[in-house]
Amino acid sequence: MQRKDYQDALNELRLGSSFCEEMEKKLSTERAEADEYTDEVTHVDVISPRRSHKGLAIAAAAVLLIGGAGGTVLYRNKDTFLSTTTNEDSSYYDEKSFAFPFGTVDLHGLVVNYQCDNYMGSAPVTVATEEMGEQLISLFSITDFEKLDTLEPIVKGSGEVMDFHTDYFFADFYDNGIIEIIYIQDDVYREYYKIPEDTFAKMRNIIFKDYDLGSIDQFGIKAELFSAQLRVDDYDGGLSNTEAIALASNINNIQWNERDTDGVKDSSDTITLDFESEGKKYEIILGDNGMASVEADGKMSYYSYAAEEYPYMRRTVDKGVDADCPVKYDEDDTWLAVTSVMERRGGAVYIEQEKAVLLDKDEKKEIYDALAGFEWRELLNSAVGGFDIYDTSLNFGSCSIGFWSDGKCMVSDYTAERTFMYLLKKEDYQHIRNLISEAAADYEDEDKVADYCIDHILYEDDSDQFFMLRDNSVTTGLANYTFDTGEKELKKILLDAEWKEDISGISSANTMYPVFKDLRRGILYLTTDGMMIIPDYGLKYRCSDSEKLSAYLKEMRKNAAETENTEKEEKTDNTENSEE
Amino acid sequence: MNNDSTALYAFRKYGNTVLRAAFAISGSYAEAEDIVQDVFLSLHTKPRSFNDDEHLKAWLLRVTINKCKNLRRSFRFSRTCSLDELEHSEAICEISTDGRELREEISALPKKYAEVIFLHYYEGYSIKEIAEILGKNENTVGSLLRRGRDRLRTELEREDEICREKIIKTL
Repeated sequence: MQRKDYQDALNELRLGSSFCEEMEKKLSTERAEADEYTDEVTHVDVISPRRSHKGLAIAAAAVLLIGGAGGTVLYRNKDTFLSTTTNEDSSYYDEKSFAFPFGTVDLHGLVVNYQCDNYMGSAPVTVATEEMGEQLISLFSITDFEKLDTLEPIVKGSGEVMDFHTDYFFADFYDNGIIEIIYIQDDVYREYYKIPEDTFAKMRNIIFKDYDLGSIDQFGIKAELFSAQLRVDDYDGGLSNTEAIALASNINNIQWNERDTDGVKDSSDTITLDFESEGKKYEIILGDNGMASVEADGKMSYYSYAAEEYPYMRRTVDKGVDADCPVKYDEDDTWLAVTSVMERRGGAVYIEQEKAVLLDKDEKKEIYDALAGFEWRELLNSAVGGFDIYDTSLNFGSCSIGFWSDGKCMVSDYTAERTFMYLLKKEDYQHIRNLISEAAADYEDEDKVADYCIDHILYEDDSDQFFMLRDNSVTTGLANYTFDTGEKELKKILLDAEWKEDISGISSANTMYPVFKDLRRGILYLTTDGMMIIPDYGLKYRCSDSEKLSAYLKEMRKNAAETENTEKEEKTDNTENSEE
Repeated sequence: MNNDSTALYAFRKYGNTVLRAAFAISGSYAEAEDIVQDVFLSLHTKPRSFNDDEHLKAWLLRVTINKCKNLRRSFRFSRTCSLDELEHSEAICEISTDGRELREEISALPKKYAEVIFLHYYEGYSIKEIAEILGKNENTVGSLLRRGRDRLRTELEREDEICREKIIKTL
């Protein structure tokens, strides 16, 4: 799909004339009573779309930076809480409040959102009923909310999250019991709490009871999969809650056709589930050839289904296979390590900030020894997953590893066409993160890191070719300008410049030049006022003297545009001539 | 901009923008209608001043996204009745049906992807700007964008395959 197709599809939608007429009438009348609509905006920020500013609107986002990369919606909206709880047939205004340590919330009528990794359907947003409100209050009354004394990004569960918000804060409950509270009054700041893990499951079961998450209702079987035993590849063990929810959803939504004979024996890969319900034993075997067998208390039945559904199910229960550590140690190799930390920006305001370090020999060895000692499992069926994009990475000459807080990690080999996914234990992720954070804490040679990034992205080879993304790719259908010469000169200008880290990311420039050589290695975004942004690492730098760089890039782009126009005109002339 | 006429001005200028955002995110024509009404009546009831049109538009989109997030109707309901609703919708018209299949795919996108896809592909906001608007980490937005795009592509490719199979069978 092209951007244009998407835009065209939506542009074909318009408001009907009678609706417009009606709205114009309403909007032309005297204002309604103030309490009828109660949106209150305390803070609205101007964000300029790329179209009008041709590039980064970093300056426009300046005010927002206070919220940081992991910031929040900086306005409050009274309508979102109380008025959304109105319901035609219930008395939703009865208070069922609970005083959490982070604020009092009316649980009756609370709007709760639920997301489960790999379970794409998610569950509907639910408005808590009076009964739910009471049950939640009973549950929370016996729950210990332990305030965590940390501002470090912490491991946020393994796939399930429930969230709600009030006028004063956003609350995210993760399935490992971590609660993240983001306050939106005056300044933005966060607090973390911990509750027992089973409290999360109890909350989910109360609020989303009607959706039978994790239960199958198929093959004449109604049962929960949370306690099922799973066999795939060399794994034989329990299902995680997220796997149970995702798999149950898949099984419930597939069209199964009963058949007389067993076709599973011809499959090359299977998912086997063993579970019990109401004293009966069940075994379901799903084959990658679109065949399944179901044993219910000793009675066999067989089914077929669309085989293309199998990979989706397989991905949800990818436990991986034992693998060697994918990192090879070479003491001459340069290692760039990047991790994000929470930095105080004054008062109670924090910003999530990337810290980069070029590791010394001892640090490299320590990290390598740790990596080599981990139990690596290669995920054979998984796409990239987890709540966030990796927050910690190691970058070597020929490959990089991104680490997710849930233990997943991605190894990108710049010479290979694909990336490889692995699974580590969460504590292993935390260990690597700690080692990198320690190494990065006092590291100050920013120019050296910037030079490494420049050298890495505009890497050394025989070619003098490089590319620049273009901002009119939609209309031209071309993604970038190609420069057959000039890369080495550009690189020299960039390396000669003195780069200082600029955590603000603020640029007043309205022109930006995104240059790259091989997209797998990243892009350098260069602005005319001396900013260099490297999104792959989340790093931002500024050089004091950017005139030479700006002039060079401007000239290169101008020439490329002129060459393109000339070629276009020649093409048109040729076409016209041939038509004649 | 005169405060008293801001809502009317905003509706005339950005009514369709809000409609498209609401549809792209909620996946439902009926919800989109309600949201359009809600957004502009809110502004009418409590007018506020804006620096310029971009400021106004940014505010409208924020409120629209927020309202989509807080829909009382269930996710499943809103995303299964969208195209049928069109027949009964008085508020919305399609000026052509060319993009109908794609709209069907757009409406089926999970909300978390729909928001970022709309802001990026329709409004042209960068990942950084979207991260600020939605209060999410830039990396998360990048990931959502990639996954949403893959999902749209997969759905479209799936449909293509079904079509191809049908043609082969017919032959």
